[in-house]
Amino acid sequence: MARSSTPAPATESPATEVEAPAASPAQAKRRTFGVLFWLSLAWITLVLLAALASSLSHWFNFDLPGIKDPNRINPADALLPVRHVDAWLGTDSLGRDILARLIEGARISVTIALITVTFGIVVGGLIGTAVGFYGGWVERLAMGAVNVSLSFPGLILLLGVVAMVGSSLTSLTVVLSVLAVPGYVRFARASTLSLMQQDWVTASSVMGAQDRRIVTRVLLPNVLLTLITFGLLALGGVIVAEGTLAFLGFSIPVPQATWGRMIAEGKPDLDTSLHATLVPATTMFLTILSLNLIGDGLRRKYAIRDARI
Amino acid sequence: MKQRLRYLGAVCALLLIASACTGGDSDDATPDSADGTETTATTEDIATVTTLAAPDETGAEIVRGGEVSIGLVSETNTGWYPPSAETAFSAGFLVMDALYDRWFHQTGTGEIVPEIAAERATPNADATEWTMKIREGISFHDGTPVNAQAAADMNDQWLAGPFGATSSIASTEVIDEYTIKYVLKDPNPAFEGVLAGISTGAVFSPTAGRAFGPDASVENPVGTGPFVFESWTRDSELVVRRNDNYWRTAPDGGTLPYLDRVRFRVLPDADARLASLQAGDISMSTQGGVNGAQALIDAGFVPYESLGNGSGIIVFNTAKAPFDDVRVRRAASHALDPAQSNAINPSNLSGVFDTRTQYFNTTSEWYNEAAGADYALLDTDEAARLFGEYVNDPARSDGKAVGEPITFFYDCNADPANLQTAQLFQQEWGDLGVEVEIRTQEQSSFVSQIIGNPSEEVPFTGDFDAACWADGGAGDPLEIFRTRYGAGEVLNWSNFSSPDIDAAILQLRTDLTTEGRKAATAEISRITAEQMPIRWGPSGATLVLTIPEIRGLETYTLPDGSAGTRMSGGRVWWTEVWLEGAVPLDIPTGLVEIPELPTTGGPNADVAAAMPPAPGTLTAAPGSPAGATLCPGLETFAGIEFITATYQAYNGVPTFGPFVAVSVYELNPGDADTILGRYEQALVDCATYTDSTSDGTPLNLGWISRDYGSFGESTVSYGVVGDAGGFPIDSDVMIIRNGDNLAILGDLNVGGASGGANLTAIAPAVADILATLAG
Repeated sequence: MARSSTPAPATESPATEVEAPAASPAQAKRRTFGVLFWLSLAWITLVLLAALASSLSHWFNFDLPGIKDPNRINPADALLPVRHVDAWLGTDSLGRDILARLIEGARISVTIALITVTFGIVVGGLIGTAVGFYGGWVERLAMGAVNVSLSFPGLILLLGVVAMVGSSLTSLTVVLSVLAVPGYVRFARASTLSLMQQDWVTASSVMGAQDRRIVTRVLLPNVLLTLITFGLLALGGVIVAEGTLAFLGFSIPVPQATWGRMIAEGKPDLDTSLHATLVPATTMFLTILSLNLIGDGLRRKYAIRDARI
Repeated sequence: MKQRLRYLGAVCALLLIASACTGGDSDDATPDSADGTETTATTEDIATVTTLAAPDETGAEIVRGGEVSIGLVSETNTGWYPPSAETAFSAGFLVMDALYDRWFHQTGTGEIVPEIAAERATPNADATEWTMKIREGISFHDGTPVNAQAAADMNDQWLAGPFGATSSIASTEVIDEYTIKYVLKDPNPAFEGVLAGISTGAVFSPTAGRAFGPDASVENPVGTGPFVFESWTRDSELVVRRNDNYWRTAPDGGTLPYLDRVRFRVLPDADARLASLQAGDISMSTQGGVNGAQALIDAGFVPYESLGNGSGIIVFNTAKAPFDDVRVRRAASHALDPAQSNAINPSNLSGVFDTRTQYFNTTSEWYNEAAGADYALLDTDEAARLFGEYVNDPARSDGKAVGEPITFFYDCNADPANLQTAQLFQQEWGDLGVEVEIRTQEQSSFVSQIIGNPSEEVPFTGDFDAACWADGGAGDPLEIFRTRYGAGEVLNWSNFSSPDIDAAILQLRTDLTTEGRKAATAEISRITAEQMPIRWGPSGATLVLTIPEIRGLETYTLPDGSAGTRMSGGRVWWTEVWLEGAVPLDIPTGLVEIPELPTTGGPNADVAAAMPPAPGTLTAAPGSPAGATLCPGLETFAGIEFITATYQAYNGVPTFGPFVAVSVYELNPGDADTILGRYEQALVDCATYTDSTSDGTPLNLGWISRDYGSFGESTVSYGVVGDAGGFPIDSDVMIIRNGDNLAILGDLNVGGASGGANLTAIAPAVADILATLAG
């Protein structure tokens, strides 16, 4: 085992006795998720379903029943209000159906967010766990690189890179994914260091487990759990990042709907047609809030499960 | 209300584009020409002025003093020195109008009125020489007098400027203290229009220009105008103060201008500009179009709307498939419904829009209804038929198989209103089976992409299929059509030209009768309506919004004392603007101080000292023509493709001895010395030398500079020239005359990227030139 001493920062420590006292009413309460969690889950499920439906219609080239063409411009129907008979959520300044565009935007947001976070968890998690476990100059090098990249103002870096490589769904996803990795590396390393202070990890080492076994069987599964909760929270961040880019005019080429672009496009009509901005903004808000609530709920769950290992 | 507010203007955006495209042409195009200054709707248009709810200005007592601050659409990156600036474009003309007077003033109806000139200029019989008398007793902000010598100096600096190669002025002649004669390269019956141009007609101090030098002069504009330059913070604010020596007097006999100070604030975002106006940060705002203005008008702000000749257009690249086929161009135009795009982005406050069929709209004397008869108006059936014909043509120009859909890119800047219109077009074309992808880019790279560069196979082809753009000035048709439809011209965005148009342009140049020139104009309008290199949108309005206290925008007294109508294009005649309830401000007074003129030393002396001694003889390169032909022989060298003149600042007293040298700019220090060392210098005598560019445009290279400026430095700042509008001037060879001396400068990649890359290509050609000269 390469490292045994360095004390770890206690961030997001996955399992402590203090957090999980023996059976008590408080613990029982913490084990249930609560109404907000389930509401959040329902909302996220809805968003995922919308994204899935939109993706399917995109791949197999059919129209979603009851949903209008998200890109159909019709100046005569511009800025119809919410709950209009022809458009549930109204239309934007070009007369496009906002509901249809929200569904279309969900596909973009979900695609980018899922790929980015998965990439971050896998790549960042592996690197972080490895450097945390082995330490030495590899760790110093990796963490140096991570710190340098994290010290750049993220948005500026993002803007620069997107301006350079151009913006398409692919390039945006790749750029966001790569930029996300350092955060996961740092997080995974912290978790690893913390885990390695645990007696049962030391025990497996003492019992003669090889490095590979410790990493794959002992550390990774536990690091992964915390990374996933971290990822759930980060999903929201990715959606916001795409929204920011779209708002600044750097997202996927028009006429593709994204939530951020919808907010940007509604901006000039803020005085008269608040809904054109408010509806996509609320959608984005609810989605991010839900992701956070789910993440929180799961983290409490994990804490309990960890304690039982 | 909702209906009204839903109108989000494209016009603003289109004008932004206009400013973009014209920003580009300031680089290489035609300062002398009316079009250089009058490409856009933001400039001098002959047009009707519609004023809504303007304050009644009769009876109010004018007060002096106070400060107005106006929000500008964009910064003028090249600064404020007329020969080098993109000042005629974007929002720069508002500042120019405060700082500079023009030799002539062009009224809203296109009439020429003398301003700094004492009377109308007189041409010779074929309009190749124009004699102008100058008003006596006027001085520049630096105290130096405006006279014929100053005009000649201005012109020489002008000729040596970035526009030199395409300047229409061959030389000047000082007749007496207040009379100057301009000798033109080609006849121009409308030359006074050039001297009325925003930049081309601006009267600026040549003394100050020389004293400040090429870099500092752009930040120290010195003119004769109603306001004196005070300070400039790039991308933020430019401040001017009252010119207390202004030559004009008010109707009441008092001084002009009325205001003490004007602040020009750069606020590129249209919404932000309106918000600043509403919040009281600024007291006036220039809006490209009518976007979002209604709410402020309802809130009591006063709109001054003017409908000009400018229009948002679609440029079809006729040099590239599929738009090299007239059927596709016509079909693409037939497919578009102007009512739809106007509903999204109204062209003016009324919501009623006009239908354009030609360069000049109905307000212009050059408009000809019959000429536009063939124009491809909305007709989706015809569009479908023509698209279908092309798609099923086995010899279709895009090389695709019969039946495959037409695909093209539609390029636009990232302006939101432009993008809205672009998406509508995309849908309308898409409904007819044409696959269109919208590409957006940041403004300056967008402009470079559309305009292209001189080293392309056909210069300035640009790399695009179709693009959103803006055009429509009110200048003379000669300069407009020469530049729009001349082969290889910078401003020929569509790359369209034809022998018939060339013939009509020749008629515009040589036929001095109005009827003949109108017939020629109509002929060009007819050809372009039939060939559709450009699809016109409705004429766009420009809007100035002010707080109600700002007065005097409606009326304008011409320099000769008669009442003038306010010109369109959002121009503001600062001289007579005043502010209700204003109090005099404590502002600096007196003349602008300029640095002492350099007499000796400087980079020239250093370079001269570093030069190797002149050899007695040079040996000709193998295969060179006989040296006896001397200068005329130069044109026989195939290696010299693009000979042009590039701005060399008048940077002091010439200090060079006779020599011929090659200089390469934008190399690392030392490289230039190496190159200099490689080529030897020689004494030559070549008094006048005429050559032509590869496309046949005649160039008179005998005149260009009296000084080599900072020649010999390895890096030279060409900020005043290089980045105007975002694309570089790329000259391969430059020939400069200094008295009896001739300098050949190679590869002036001013602001360009290729640096030494062209050097190897050009070195043999320059060596040949040297050998010939020495022959």
